[in-house]
Amino acid sequence: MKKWFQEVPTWGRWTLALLSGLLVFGMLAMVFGFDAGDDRRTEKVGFIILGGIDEPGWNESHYEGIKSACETLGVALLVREHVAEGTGAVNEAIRSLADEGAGMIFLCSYGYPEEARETVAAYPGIAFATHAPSPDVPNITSCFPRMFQGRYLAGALAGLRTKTNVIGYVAAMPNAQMNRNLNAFALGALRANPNARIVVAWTGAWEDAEKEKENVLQLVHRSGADIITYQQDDQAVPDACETLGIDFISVNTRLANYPHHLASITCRWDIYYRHILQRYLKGELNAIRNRWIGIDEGAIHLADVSERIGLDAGYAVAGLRRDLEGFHPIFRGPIRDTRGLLRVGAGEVLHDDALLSRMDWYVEGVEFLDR
Amino acid sequence: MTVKKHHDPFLKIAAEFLALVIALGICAIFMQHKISALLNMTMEQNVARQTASMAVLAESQFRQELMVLHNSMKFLETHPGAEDEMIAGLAQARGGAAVGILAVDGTPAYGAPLPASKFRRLPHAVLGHDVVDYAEGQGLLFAIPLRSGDNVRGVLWRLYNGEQAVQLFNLAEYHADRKFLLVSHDGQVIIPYRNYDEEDEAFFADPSVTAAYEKIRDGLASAPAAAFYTESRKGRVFLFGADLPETNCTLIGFVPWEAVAGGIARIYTLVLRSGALLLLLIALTSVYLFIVQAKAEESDALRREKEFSDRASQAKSAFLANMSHEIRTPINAILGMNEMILREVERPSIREYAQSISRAGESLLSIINDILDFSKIESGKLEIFESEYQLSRLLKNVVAMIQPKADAKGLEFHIHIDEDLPDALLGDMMRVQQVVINILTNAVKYTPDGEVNFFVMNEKREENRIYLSFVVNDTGIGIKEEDQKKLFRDFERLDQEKNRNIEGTGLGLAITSMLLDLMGGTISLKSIYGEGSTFTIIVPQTIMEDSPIGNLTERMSEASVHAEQYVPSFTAPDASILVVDDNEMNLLVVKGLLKQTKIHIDTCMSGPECLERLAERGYDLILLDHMMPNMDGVETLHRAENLPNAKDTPFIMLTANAISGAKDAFLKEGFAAYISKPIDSVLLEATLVKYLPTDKIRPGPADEETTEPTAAGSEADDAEKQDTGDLDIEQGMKYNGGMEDMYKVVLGMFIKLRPDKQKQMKEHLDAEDWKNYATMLHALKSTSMTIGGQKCSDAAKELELAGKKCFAEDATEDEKQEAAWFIRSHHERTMALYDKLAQDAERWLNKNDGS
Repeated sequence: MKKWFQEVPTWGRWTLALLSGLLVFGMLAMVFGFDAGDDRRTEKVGFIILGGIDEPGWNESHYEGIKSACETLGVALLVREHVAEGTGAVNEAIRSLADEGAGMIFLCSYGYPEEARETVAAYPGIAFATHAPSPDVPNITSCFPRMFQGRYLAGALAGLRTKTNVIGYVAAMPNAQMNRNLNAFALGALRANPNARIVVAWTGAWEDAEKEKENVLQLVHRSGADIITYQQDDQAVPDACETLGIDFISVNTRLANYPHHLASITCRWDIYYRHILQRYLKGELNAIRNRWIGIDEGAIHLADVSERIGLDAGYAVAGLRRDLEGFHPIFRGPIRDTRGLLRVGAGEVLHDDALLSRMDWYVEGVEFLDR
Repeated sequence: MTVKKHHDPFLKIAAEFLALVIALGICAIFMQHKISALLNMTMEQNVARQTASMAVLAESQFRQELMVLHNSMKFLETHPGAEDEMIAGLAQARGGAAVGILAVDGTPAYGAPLPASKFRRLPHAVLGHDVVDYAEGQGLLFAIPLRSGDNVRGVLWRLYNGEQAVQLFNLAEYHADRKFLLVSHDGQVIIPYRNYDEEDEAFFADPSVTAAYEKIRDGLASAPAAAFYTESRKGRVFLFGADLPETNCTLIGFVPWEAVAGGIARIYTLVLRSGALLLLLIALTSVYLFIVQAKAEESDALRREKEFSDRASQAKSAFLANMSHEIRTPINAILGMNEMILREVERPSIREYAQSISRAGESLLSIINDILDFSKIESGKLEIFESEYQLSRLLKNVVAMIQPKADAKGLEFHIHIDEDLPDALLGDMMRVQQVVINILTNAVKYTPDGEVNFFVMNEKREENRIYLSFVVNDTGIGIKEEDQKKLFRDFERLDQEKNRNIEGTGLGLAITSMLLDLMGGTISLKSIYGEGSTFTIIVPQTIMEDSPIGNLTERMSEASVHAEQYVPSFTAPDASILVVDDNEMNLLVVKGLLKQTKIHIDTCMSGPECLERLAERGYDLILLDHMMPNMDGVETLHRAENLPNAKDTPFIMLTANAISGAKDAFLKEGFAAYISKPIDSVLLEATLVKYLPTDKIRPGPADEETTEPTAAGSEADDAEKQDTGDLDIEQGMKYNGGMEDMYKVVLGMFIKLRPDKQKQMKEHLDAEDWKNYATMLHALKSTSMTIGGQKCSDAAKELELAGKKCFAEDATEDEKQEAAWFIRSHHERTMALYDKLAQDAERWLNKNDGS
């Protein structure tokens, strides 16, 4: 050994010294870098959306919401935007997100869950969530924001505010979600002002600026509406209202700088998504099929309420909001539909499940603009 | 050579080791910390997972309760109006829990009253959801919606107060060492564990515990369960928590560290111990490596020093070899001429002087030889040449060498030689002789008075091998014990102060010891300081013939100690040899040494001249000098070999180039033998006997002729004195040691060289080159004197003095001019005397040549 060492030439000894140094360095790196061995991998969440994430309105507010929630919870966000409905593109998006290791995927368009039913079932290890009604697959849960609570308060505001007792409602097309919003709005308006009329003008599209503008004109000039609200993906309605000088209640868009803006029905999407992500991280997301996230979680707001509505209206709306957390549900009986059929009897409350998918009727007092 | 000073290697190693131990220690502390943290983290995760499963258990208990309510609802659907009956049943089934039905506006419809507003989650039941809710002061509430188609018409509930809840939902039974509590999200204890007391309350209120639960709360925001290690009043514990889904309840608790760690704790200890062992191992290995490295560095330094000293030693050897060569050449001349003086002069006083010269010269030569031997041995070039020799001759030589020295110091020199020793041996006689002489010389040198005893004995015999034992015992100064080891080292001389006036190089014993090593012999020493020393040399030699040496001691003591009159060992009047040397003196020496052998000797002074002679006639033998200008001895030999006259002639190399290996080189070139200068007359004669044709050699001296030179000299003295002119034959003969032949040779040279010399003198005179002029005149003064030309010598002396004055530094310009004038006016006259002397000499030579 000794001889061997002495026979090593000088360069050899340097090499030895270098190797030992590397070895020591490696050992130290191993010791100090041991945290790398922590098996808590970063969770990844996939997000699939119809439009572009930078498009103002629906797309951007959802993206900002889930992004904020992910940042709060330290979760990585994977986005698939411009995923068209009815083309199978959503399945492709799910597969690519699965390949990237997403543990949860949020389907952020109304038509996705039904379209992706097979694909969702093919990934039982991934938790799916959506804001829309979902197919009967164990690993997908619908998480509904109780937007209708905001509508209800907005309706009450409009009912208190209207002079003509005609409130215009520009709506894209009927579905359970649309109908419960419309009904909640109507109930709010009618309970605040039993003389109020809610006139609905269908556009037949989620985005159609011309049609929306046209509807606003019709509602104002033909029906005599002095307050307009809407459910569309774009902002054509408030723009039209501003042009016409008509008060409006906006949805999902904060337009407090518009002179004729009364209030905004908003969903705090960050709270909504944080709630969902927490359920996912705690492993209980898919434990129940339908999840409601409402005003008591702080997710739904009637925001930017204009000072023009006056103190009385303000107090009234605040009282209604408080009632919603107690035993004063929106859909408490008696409620009749447009045909006079008793839908909810006195001493009864409409079950959340019925709100979800079986709402194909309209509260008495809702009218439709003739075409 | 001084060894470069290093730091104390021990200190260095200790410092390196300390640094390493500190580094390792820090590493170890970090590692221990890491391991412990990792272990706790792993256990935290483990506890969290277990907690999650406990939460599931708790949740399932809750579900069970809700299931009971659902079943009751189904009962109601099939039995409308049986509300009171059912409520009573439910209340009974669970030890007095409150049961009732609420209307959708929160007012009691059936059964017990309920402060519905206290339960914040209860309104969800109205919307169609199952509810588990806890309200402080109220208890744990379970509620389900009562359906009527798509609508909810009421809420069925059951409420457990604190005590009832503990009994129904106690989870502690599942894990003996764990304590579980069910708390609400705002921290109210819903279901404590058994024996939950003030101390436990204090424990959960403990700041460290509260802080830990804060962390657990944070963790629960994004995980089903969380656990945290902390040290509290209950020792090392893991705190844990898990939210129960769809309730405002959280399962929390703690478990002692030991209960979780269990066997892992032992693994932890094991890891720590093995880590410590590993560190120890590393430390020990490092120490080992440090030591090895220190040694390697040391040996590096030593190697460098050795390389350096080797180079120095080689340079030294080369220098010594060179110098010895330069010195040997003149000594050759001195000893050669001196030998002739001894042979030819009878006047005792002159013989004595010559003997002194001889002794001094030989002493000088032996020093040179010592140096040369040493340089050869050091460079590993010394070889042992074995040949057959007679031990008797060796011993005679030794005694002849030592006896006079001992006599001179007045020491008694006793010789004891074993008569049974074989005489004919094979070995390197010269080296054995050298070794023995060395020891004896030392003995004589270092013995101020008393005696020196010399024993030659047979140490042991193995077949044809004999181990000769030479023992030298003296009554000298002796050697101190501590000095005895140093004795055989290079240049080591003991007692420097005391022995300052003792001559020698200090190499003698070193060489002796090295030579003995080369020959496989040994030397040993016994000495008592102040009383004397005994050196014992044992040399193995091969026996050639087993004839005993006989009583040599007697024979030798009979022999005269006085220098013997030289007697040639043989004569060969018919033989003729050629001696080639560029140095006239060397030629003279060889001729002189061989004069009495009657060999006919021709001489020439260069290689080409030698070849010319050989072209004319053949010789029986040729002695050829090595170093000659233009054509050296080796080249001359190669050219001569092509000549028909020289084809079979033995060439013998004469050289002062005595460096090791030279002999072999010459023999390889084609020389028959090799004689180193200064020429040893005995060796020269022996070599000639060996190489001259045997038929031309007659053993012994030519008796009738031995006295001839002296007789002839005196005859000439008487008969031819008047006819010699300026030449004083008597004086000339005196200067030439009384050897007429020698004298004649010198005269011949004087005559022969004259024209050249005169020409050169004239040239120097014309060029006013006084320095060379004076030198030449000085030579003329000396040579004239040597041949007996007093007149010419005197004249030359005057001119020499004048010449010297011409370039003397202290001479004035006037003096110089006067001297130059003197030279010019006297030069011709002196040259005339030179001419006359040469003519007289030639005349005398012609007259005496015939006789």
